[in-house]
Amino acid sequence: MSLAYLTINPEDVRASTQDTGPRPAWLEEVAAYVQRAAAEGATVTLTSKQRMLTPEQVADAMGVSRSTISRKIKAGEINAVKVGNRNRVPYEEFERFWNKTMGDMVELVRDDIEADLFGDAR
Amino acid sequence: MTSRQTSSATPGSATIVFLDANVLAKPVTRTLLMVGGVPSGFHALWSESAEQEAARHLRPRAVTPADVRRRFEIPLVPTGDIAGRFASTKGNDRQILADAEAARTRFLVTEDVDDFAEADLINLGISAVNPDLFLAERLIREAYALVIDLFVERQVAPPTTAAQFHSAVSRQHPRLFAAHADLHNVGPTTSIHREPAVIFRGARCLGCETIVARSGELTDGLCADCRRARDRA
Repeated sequence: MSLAYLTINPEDVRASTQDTGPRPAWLEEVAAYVQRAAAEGATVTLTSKQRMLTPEQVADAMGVSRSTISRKIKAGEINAVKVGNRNRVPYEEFERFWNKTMGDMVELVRDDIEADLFGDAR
Repeated sequence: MTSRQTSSATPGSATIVFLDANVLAKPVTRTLLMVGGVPSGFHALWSESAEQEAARHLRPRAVTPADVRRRFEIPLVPTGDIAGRFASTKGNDRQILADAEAARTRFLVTEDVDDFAEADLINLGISAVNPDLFLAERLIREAYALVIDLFVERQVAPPTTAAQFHSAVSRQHPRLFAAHADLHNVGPTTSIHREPAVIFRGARCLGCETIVARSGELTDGLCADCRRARDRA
């Protein structure tokens, strides 16, 4: 068959709530893949594995530099695992770090946010 | 409280969104764009010129955009070249436009859309967008709910509920509130600003990001296909 494999990433599934169609885009892809396989008499086996990101992918996703992420890995702020001699960040760890960073960002400006939203009356 | 949605951006695929000084100077708008941007598939960035201008319009003792940028190591956009360029746009806005181009941005988010000449925007392939319109169209529901949840989790006294934050957001962002009005069972707070007459200018569609041949088609920021998709939803 023309497609040897199909990869669906967790972010694709999680972002699918913004899709306006009856089925999310990732599910359409899976359905099309299975239908093509069936048409060719092929069996489809679904497997999953831990999504791993390179430091560069983490930097891209967060909008910061690669050196910033490498420094945070070295400092233990991001828990990376070694694959060979290279650092890889499990997707769950990326999510944890991103959530913490965004929370810290809100906390830094929380007084300004409250003043902006509710004025000085509070 | 809604369940926590984390980053859904595919690494490397995010759209760059440039923030003008008048957006940077507003803590709620800036935070919605910065925190909600990643799950919604865009990064909000700005330049030194915008940062310096914003600092002049902040409340006394406010945390500056420079403070936020340094604390979280957000890169500054390089300064763009304005020499002999952007003849149709006036004054300091030329520098903002040049910086937006240097950022390779597709959208310039600004309170003063009509400060940027349509001819210059079309030449650059950049659309200038009012922040409330941009947020209403591009901030996904989970990202908006996440920002509201973080407002609640990281607040100082007095305790404020997510519904109260949601309602208060409507004062500055009535379109954003309307887009997610059913997130909490609460009505909007009366808006404190009148919406500018011009809230979108340019030829790049706010939805699909393609360049539309007839720029007049995009009065609400959306091409015909995206408008139909929104109306169906």
